[in-house]
Amino acid sequence: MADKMKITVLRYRPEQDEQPWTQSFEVEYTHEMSLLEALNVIKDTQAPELSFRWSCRMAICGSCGMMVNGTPKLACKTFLRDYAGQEMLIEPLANFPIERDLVVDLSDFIEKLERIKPYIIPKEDVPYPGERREYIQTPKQLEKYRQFSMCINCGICYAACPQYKLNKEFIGPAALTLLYRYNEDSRDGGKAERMKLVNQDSGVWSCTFVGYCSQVCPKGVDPASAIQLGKVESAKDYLISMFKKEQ
Amino acid sequence: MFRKDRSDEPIYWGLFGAGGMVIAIIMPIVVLAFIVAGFSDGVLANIGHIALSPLPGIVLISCLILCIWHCLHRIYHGLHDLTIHTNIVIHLALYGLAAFLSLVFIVLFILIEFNIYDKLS
Repeated sequence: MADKMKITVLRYRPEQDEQPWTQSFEVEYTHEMSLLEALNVIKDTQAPELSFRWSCRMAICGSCGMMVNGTPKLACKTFLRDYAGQEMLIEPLANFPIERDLVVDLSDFIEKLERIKPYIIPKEDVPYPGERREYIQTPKQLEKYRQFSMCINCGICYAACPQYKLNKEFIGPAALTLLYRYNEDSRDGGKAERMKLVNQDSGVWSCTFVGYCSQVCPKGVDPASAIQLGKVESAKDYLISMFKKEQ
Repeated sequence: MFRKDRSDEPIYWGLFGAGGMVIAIIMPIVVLAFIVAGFSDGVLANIGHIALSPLPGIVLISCLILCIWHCLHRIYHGLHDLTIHTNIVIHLALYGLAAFLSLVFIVLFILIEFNIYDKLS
């Protein structure tokens, strides 16, 4: 027999609601039912106009981030069985403006992501090695940034970050992690450009190493560590700048 | 300092980090040593004497100064967490206090080290 779960969802329809309100649903669930499936059941059978983002159903696309009982999680990676005997309160991702129901406006995060130049900027003075027309990278060089490249841009770390909550200027965990990932890539030549962002108050120095971002990351990335490593890089850059005139 | 193109946090973060290591690793030993010394007759005076001899003295004073910087840096960011957003006045007040206390420690140490304190009193 399937068990029942009471799921309360924060609703907000900008054209008719003055402020968000909650609506409760009862869903029968099986052992393997994810929250995303449950929301789709609600949409199919009880509230067809309920809005939420989703795509891949397997923690790759990073679309279905939402607050589950106050903790930011991917709906596709959250299972109802883990909440057996409790109720579930589903809210849109914290620290972002609500667009509609569980859909948030991620523009601020996307803008920051663009700002840090999350792509390899080739080194101008290093030609392609030989005739092979490819950059060789050793496993050791790969290991320097590999875990930080697992980010799926879901924005869950921003919902967890108390510093981003207080100060929206802060570039934030995921963007700073990707920044570090490209800076540490042996094929990249854009470090000097990106360090200008790292060195700002709104760069790594807004982080107070709370570490909640690393706890909630659904991909096991450790943004807090990337930011602390970024602080070391920024401190080195600061020392060098005291003796060397900046261009 | 107070440059627009980059944060001056590396200085304070460096002192904060060093102070953190001191508080976590060295200070418990120092406190424990003084507690043990307190319970044993005559040793306390001896420890005080050792602590103020030049080399251990410099180490101890450096540790105390780093602790001060650590604590005031923590308060600086703690205020921001309590939504008292830090500005140039708070910046100068807290780091100024840290610098002032560091100076007081150094001056006191020099006074004791060169027996100037004894000569004055």
